[in-house]
Amino acid sequence: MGTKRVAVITGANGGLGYAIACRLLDSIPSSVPLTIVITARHLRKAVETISRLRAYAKGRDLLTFDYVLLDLTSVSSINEVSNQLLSRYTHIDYLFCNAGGGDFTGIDWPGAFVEILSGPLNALTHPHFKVERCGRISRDSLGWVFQMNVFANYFLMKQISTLLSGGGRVILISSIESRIAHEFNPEDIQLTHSDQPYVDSKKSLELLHTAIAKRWADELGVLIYITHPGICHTSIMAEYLNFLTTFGMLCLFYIARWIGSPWHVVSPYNGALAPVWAAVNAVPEADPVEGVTYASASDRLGRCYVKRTDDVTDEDRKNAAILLEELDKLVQDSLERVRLESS
Amino acid sequence: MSRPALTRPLRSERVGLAQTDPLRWRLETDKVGRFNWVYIRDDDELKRRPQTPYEKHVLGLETGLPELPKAETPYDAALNGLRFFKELQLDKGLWACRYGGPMFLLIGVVAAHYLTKTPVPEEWKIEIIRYLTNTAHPIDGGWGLHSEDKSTVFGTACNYVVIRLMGMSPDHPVAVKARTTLHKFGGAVGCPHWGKVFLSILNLYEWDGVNPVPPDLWVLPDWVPFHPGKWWVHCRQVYLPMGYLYSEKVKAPLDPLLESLRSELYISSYDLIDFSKHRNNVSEIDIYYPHTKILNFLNSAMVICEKFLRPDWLKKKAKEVVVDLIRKENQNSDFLCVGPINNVLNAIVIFCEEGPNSKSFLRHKERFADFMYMSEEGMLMMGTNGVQCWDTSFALQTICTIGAGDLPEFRETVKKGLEFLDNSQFTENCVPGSYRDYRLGCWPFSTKDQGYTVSDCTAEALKAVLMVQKLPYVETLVSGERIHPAIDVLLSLQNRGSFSPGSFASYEKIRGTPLLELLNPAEVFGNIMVEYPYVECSDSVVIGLSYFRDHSSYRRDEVVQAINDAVAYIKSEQDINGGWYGSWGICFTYAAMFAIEALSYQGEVYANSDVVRKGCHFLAKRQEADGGWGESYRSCETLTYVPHEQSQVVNTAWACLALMLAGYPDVEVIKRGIRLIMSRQQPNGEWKQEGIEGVFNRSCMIEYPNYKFYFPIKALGIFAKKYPNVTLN
Repeated sequence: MGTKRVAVITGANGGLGYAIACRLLDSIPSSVPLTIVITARHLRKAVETISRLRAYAKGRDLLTFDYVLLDLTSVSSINEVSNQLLSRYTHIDYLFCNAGGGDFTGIDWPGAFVEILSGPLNALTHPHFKVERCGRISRDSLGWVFQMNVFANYFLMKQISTLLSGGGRVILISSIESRIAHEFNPEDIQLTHSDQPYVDSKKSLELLHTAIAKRWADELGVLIYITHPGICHTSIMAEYLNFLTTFGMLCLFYIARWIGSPWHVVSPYNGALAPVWAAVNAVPEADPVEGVTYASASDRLGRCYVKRTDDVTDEDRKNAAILLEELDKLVQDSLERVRLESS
Repeated sequence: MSRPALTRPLRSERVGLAQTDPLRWRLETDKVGRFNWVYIRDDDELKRRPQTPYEKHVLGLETGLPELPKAETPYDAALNGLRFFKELQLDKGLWACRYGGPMFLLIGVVAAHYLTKTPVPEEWKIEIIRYLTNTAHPIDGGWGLHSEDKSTVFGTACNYVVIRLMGMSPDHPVAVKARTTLHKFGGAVGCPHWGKVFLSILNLYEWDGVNPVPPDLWVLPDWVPFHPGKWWVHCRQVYLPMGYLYSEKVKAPLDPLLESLRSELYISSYDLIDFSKHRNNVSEIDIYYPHTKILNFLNSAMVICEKFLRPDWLKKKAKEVVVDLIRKENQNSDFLCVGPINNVLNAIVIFCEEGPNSKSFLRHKERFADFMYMSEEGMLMMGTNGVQCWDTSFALQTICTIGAGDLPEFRETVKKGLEFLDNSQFTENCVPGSYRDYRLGCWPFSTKDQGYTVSDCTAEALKAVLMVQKLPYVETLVSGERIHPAIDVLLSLQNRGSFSPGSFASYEKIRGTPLLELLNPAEVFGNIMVEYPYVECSDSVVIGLSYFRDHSSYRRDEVVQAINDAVAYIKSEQDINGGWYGSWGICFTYAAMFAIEALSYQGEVYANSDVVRKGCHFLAKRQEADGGWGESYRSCETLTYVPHEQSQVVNTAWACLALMLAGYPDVEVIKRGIRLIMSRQQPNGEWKQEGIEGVFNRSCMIEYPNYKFYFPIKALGIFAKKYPNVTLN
């Protein structure tokens, strides 16, 4: 019997988060006592997810579930969740920062047709036809998308860093779309002026990783890996797709894979490969935390593997430092806000 | 989410709230255990009636109970615990219980007073405000469904109205904070159904924004599969008066205070809100059980029917039937009703039907007080009118089981307890036509007046009576002839046929299909529409019947058959990992104790039963490093074992009891649990309050403060008897 392991998966009710939980169950031997803490925004989703995971893990003993209700767009929610985790656990082995989202308004269908016809592989890998809204502000007066996808993860990690220190791993989930992000703009760190805040926030997440990975590894013994799931069918755009368009999308994904795209892993379970591999199997000596992104990829026959890319530039490092400075300032502001709220 | 333990000074003191004098509160009771907290203003009377240790205990005052010689052995610790616990017994022989937890009840009693223009006693107002202030969420200032819940729209909207109607200014920091949180949630339009009903009664919401509660269903012939008579009793008795109020659109006349509240509860102007668009607007934070599509369809259809198709004669007929059934419920329960919600709703209906000075309404007014309970945090409303018989049964069983019944110092306690159970047995059946089963000879959960038996309450009381009456110095108060009707009812309550055969449900046999859950409109509770089979109820009945079987030959064959069928059901309910889900206590440790005790009565123990072995391993694997067990209320919500932040004395006692009754071979495991229980005992023999102990409908937690006394005492006492030669250190 191994020592007890605790995994926290944010947004485990969604496609990728749920797949990460399943994959984790498959990757950790059943002789190891495992606690999976899921976060969801609402109790009902938490309960549903736990019941689905229980069915998936059928009969696995030494498996415990727990939930915390987390709203990434509220610093007081993150603070409360941190306190709950601190009071319930003495250590956390894996924190999967999976939850996030975008302020999408739909799909630009004509644009999609043109893009797919003129360069199918590129269109299906780096699509420009998902339409995002610009400028949404959270209740905490932060850029809404930026808060969810970047700041919330950092604030949560900071708040529970004592639980992670000495061997805990944080898995950040970026997106292949970060490659089509705009240039980092120090004047618009919170991305409230960006016309694609989701895409840009993923780039910022990668910069955050660049900024802290080495320091956290050296000073706290926390290994932060940045991963992306490749391209798979998750819930993020689900509300803009119906049965037919979903079917069409899946067909195109398979075609892309067949043409030779390594990124079209298609299923969320395949997409969860790199995040779970980084948490459970990566060896820091061979698989450095810094400077490398680990992505889920697939060959033509659907055999999945972890593909590395290392394209961090000096420019990135410079920008990362600027971003981190801003994030640290926001952490201080948030702590002050939380203190005022609870007084 | 989980609220911190009571810390001094209380928040009500920190924000400078008024407080009544705790030295003036007294708990009055009668021979069937009615609770009535009175505030004594007269100084002479105050002297005539000094506070009892129980009153001091529950009001957070020094009990003055002596420090006891330090317990070196589990047996001494058990006796010390019992010495403390016996001092809490009331003079009528019962143990009292602060049955708090649900945070959606006060709105009911306050609405009933407001609408009927019944003045709320000043001391209640002060203490209700104090209670809500002390139970508000420490960060956002809102309230949830139950006292350990996160803040929800239901809890926050309803309790905000309560503090305002009880006299708190909207500018008070407590009110401001709660209102800010409510607005953050989008205002009271996102309230679940019951909240919308109460707000509508108070004219703070419009009835056309409330999903239909058709009283007309009661006019259907009884054989219709979804006839309300087939629903779970709590469900049908709540929707009965709610149907009347919905159909008649009863609401309090608008006054300046309500006008002001209308502007405080919503984020937009009241007059601009189209309430009919908010029927299905329920905050995601609140939802535990969402509407099904079929319910949404039926609701829309009913709204149309009600507007255009419903003939007047049907409305009139439905009203007649409903009022008749409400009167019968009042008669069967002496105006207590099955629970606090239908208690206040029935009172409003009777007020509307019979007027403020009618005999019935006056009796209703007297009964409001039965649910109001004074505590150190302020005044709360209880989930029932008490836990009198349930607590007293377990207290007596504990004393007998550990052999303390023979000791002179506990003889009076035992005799008085038996007298209470003697007084509490039902002596008559319900009036015909009230959709109630036989109850003659049974025992209630709370009081004889309230008039509802629950299968497990009768079984546990029966066992307690039989155990106590075996003691040589005890006079037989409840004779064999009086026991037999209880056996008859228990046998009649066993589910047969298609609904979980062999099992026992709570108040009644299962009458309707679980498919009716598709029509569950409550949004915040699961499993409310019909009776369900319950492992713990079935366990208790098996335990009671087994005990009876060993003492009497009355209907022997049927009793044995009933036990065998119930045991088969209990075994079938064990999950793949060996656990049983507990529906009334938190959670798997609770159900395991009952299940294993029931099986042990059939001679099924660790040595010879796979089921028991699996049950033991389930528990042993979940022992914490400190030797205890601790289970979070989240176990109940998620249907999986979720550990508590800390080991809990009550969970530890349940787990140890299960393992001991099973004859679990590794005594070391049990010893570590027993040691934890002893380490938490105070010098005067008591255990301090820890996490909440009970639950109903999966999502709402409820307090059983006496569990921390009799279950640890029982565990310590049984350990001493079973392992007389095992030393702890």
